[in-house]
This record gives sequence, C-alpha cells and structure tokens, in this order.
Amino acid sequence: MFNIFQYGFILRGIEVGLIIGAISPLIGIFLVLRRYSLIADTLSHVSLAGVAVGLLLNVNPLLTAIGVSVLSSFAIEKLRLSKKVYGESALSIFLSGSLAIALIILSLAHGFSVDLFNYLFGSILTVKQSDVYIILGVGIVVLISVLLLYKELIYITFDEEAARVGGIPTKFINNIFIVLAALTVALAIPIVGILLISALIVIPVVAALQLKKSFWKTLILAEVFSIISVFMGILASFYLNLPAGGAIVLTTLIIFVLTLFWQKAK
Amino acid sequence: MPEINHETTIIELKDVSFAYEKEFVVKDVSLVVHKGDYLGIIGPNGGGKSTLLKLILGLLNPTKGEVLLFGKNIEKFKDWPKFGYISQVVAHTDPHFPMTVREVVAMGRYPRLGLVHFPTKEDKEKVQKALEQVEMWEFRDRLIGDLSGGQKQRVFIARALAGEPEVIVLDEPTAGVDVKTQKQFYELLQKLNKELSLTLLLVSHELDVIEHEATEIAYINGSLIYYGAADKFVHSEYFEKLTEKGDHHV
Repeated sequence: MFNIFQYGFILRGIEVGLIIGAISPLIGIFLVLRRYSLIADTLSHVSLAGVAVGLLLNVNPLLTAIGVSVLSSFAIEKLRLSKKVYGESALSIFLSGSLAIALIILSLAHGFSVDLFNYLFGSILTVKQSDVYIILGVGIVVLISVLLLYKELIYITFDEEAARVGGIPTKFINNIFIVLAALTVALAIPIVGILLISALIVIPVVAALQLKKSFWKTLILAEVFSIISVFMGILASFYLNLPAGGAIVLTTLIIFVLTLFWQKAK
Repeated sequence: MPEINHETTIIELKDVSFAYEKEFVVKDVSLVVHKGDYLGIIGPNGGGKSTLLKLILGLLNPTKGEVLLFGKNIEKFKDWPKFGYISQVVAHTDPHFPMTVREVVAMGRYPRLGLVHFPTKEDKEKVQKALEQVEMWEFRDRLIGDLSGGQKQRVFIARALAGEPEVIVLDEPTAGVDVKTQKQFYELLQKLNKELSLTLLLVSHELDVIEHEATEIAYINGSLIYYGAADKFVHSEYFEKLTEKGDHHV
C-alpha cells in the first residue's frame, strides 16, 4: 500500500479538509436549528458565479467566490428582511439567478470545462498552496468570530424575540452570521465542490441531533462526525480512486444512518 | 421582605398609538406602571394587547405618542436587562432543540454580559439560584424538550430571573397547559411579585384568572377601556357586561 502522506497534494487536501471539516458544523448547527439550511445551497450556487468570474478573469476563483458569496449574502438578508418576498423565495431567486449568471459567464469563455467540473464536485488534486493559505486564514477568522459571538448566536437561534428584548443587537449579529456562512461555503468549494457543500454543512449536525444531547455535546459530536467524514473521504478517494467530495458526503450519510439506528435501538 | 415603593415609575405610556398600514390597532393609550405592580392586560383577540406589549418592549415603534421606561424615552433606553420577557414559549418551543435546562437559563445572563464577554463562576451561581427559586435545579441536565408544559414555564421564568430583572413581561404564558399547572404557575408569579418586588406585566385572555391574580388591570380593545385596580374592575360596568355575556375568556 502507498504511503498517503508522501504526496504533497494529499497533505494539502487533508490540511484544507480538516479546516473545512472543523468550521462547517460551527455554522451548520445554527443554520439547521434556525431552519435555514437552504441558504447553504443558495450561497454555494452564488459561489459558482464567483468561480465563473475568477475563471474568466484568470484570478484565483476561490477569492472571487468568497467575494461574490459575501456580497450576495448581504443582499439575500436584505431581501428577506424587506418582507417583500417570502424568505425561501428570496433564496430561490438568488439560487437560480446566480446559476443563470454563472452559465452566461461560462459560455462567454470556452476551454475551462475541466476546471469547472472540479469546482462543481470538488477535487483535492487541484488544491494549490495559495488555497491552503486562504482557507487557513479565512477559516481562522470564521472560527474566532463564532467563538466570540456564540452566546448571542445561541440566544438568537433559540428565542430571537427574547434576545432582542434583552438588548442583544440581533440585526448586527444576523448580518455577521450570514457573512460567516458565505465564507464557509466558499472555502469548502475545493474540497466537496459547489453541489455538495450544503451536505457537509448540514448532515453532520443533523446526525449529531439524533443523539439528543446538550447544545455543546451536539456541537462537539457534529465536529467529530464532520472531521471523520472529511478524513475518511480523502482516504477513500486516494485508495479507492473515488471523487473526494462524493466520498466525504457519503461518509456523512453513513454516519447519519448509524445515528438513526442508534437512536432507534436506545 | 423588601419594602415595595409603589411610587417609582417603571413604565409610562403617553397617548401611544400604533397603526399597521393605516389601521390603528392601539389608539391613544396612556398608563403608568409602578414598581411592584402586577398588571394584567386583557382584551379580545385583535384588541391590541400583544401590540401594546411589543410597544412597551421596543419591538414596535409607536406611530404616535411616547413610551418612557424608568423615566427615559424608549429610544434612549439602554438598560434592557432590567426586563425579562417570556413570550408564548411553551406552545412554540422546538421539542428537538438540543439544549439542557441549565443552558436555557444561562441565556438569561447573556444580555447582562454584553458582546465578547464570557460567563464567569458568578454567572453560573446566578443560574443555579434562579433554578432553585423556581424549584427546577434537580432538572438542570434534562433537555428542555423532555419537560412538561408546566416545567418549561418554570424554566423560562428562571431564565428571566437569571438576568436579575426588575420587570417580567409575560405574553399569554399559560397557553397550552392544564388548569392545575396554570394554578401553580400563577402561585409562583405571586411569590415573585411579593417576595422579590418584581413588577409583572401579564397579557392574557383569561379574565377569570387575571381578576384574581393581578393588582391592576388594563382592559384594551383598540383604546384603553379600563385601567385601574383589579378589585375595582370586578365591580365595574365593564366586568359586569363581560360576565353577563358569559365571557370569562376575552
């Protein structure tokens, strides 16, 4: 058997994967409990438009994906709060709209279909050293921000009205949170790809919720499930020649099914 | 037992009106709530009682008039931890929310702590004290979704108490719980009102309960129809009219 760690691209994939695996449940737990999981899907499609811009302009697509998804996250939140459309309709508008924009930009420039496939489904082979630095830097920002605001995020998620009455700046915190969600989604592109990001953000949390523990234990379990999934997915990708994104998400699903059985057996 | 100074003004509404679009839901309401008052806000559905509560809590801005809290205009008022708020929580709590009783009550401390400050040992002690006050300490590690309606109510009272409020505002807190549990809940409120001098504002449609529990009554149906002592309300023409119709739930 080959030694997996002798390959630079695998090491880069594992480094990046572990960062993404660690921050995804931090965002995912609040999205799932607020019944807002669909925003991860919307932001990932918005990121595709960002990737398309990057490929067209020959700029690192990860950077353009981050920029476009952060800007769009503000717009989504504004449209949602305006109450001019239902919250889920706002998400639908952005999801399909950004996909349309991405398609048009991509049709304007030819010759990067292979690259595009990697961004849609993820490919640890394509993770560059510069991506590692970007993901590490932005990942640390997300991690520290969530840790600093965890009290407020918990309160708003559980009882937003009471949090507002208590004087917690709910609008400010919600805006920061959606930006953190946008950053997380954009960072996960190289590992699981645009089409599978929401699974990595949502499924480990949903699996942890089946075990019916306290908030902190649920979060720790989701972290463990997420990191195991990323690690196992990368190993499966290397040894079984499977796409890493698919293998990671399938691992999260296997863990989810196991938690369902465990819950039933209890 | 602390002496209650009923003269200290906690909440003052001056000719407050509120309109959704152009339709007035609350019209020209003026009232003063003093420290230690137990105010029952009653009225028919759509009569504006929950809107009035939201105006007092700053969740809505008045179309007209002025709201003063502790003598300050609500727009300048910053001391929100003085208010504990219990919304229609029992009916709406997500039964699958992964949170223990202790974690729920700890949230009551968060507004006092402020952004980027973490709970200390003292905060943990206050959480314990609040849970002991409502006799729920032994349930501290249970999940909130596993509790009965009455137990959840006590936990939410403890959450409010953990923030060391001067006023507790309750919006239809007994929705969805049985009569025996309701009785215990109102006994607890009486205890908090008397022993801790807490000012209580309670929105309810249960006229028969409120007339016994509250010291003051505000009867609102768009405008304020009656505002005064609860024992006088029982002998007033409004109460007679309501009960003549057999309307113990307004």
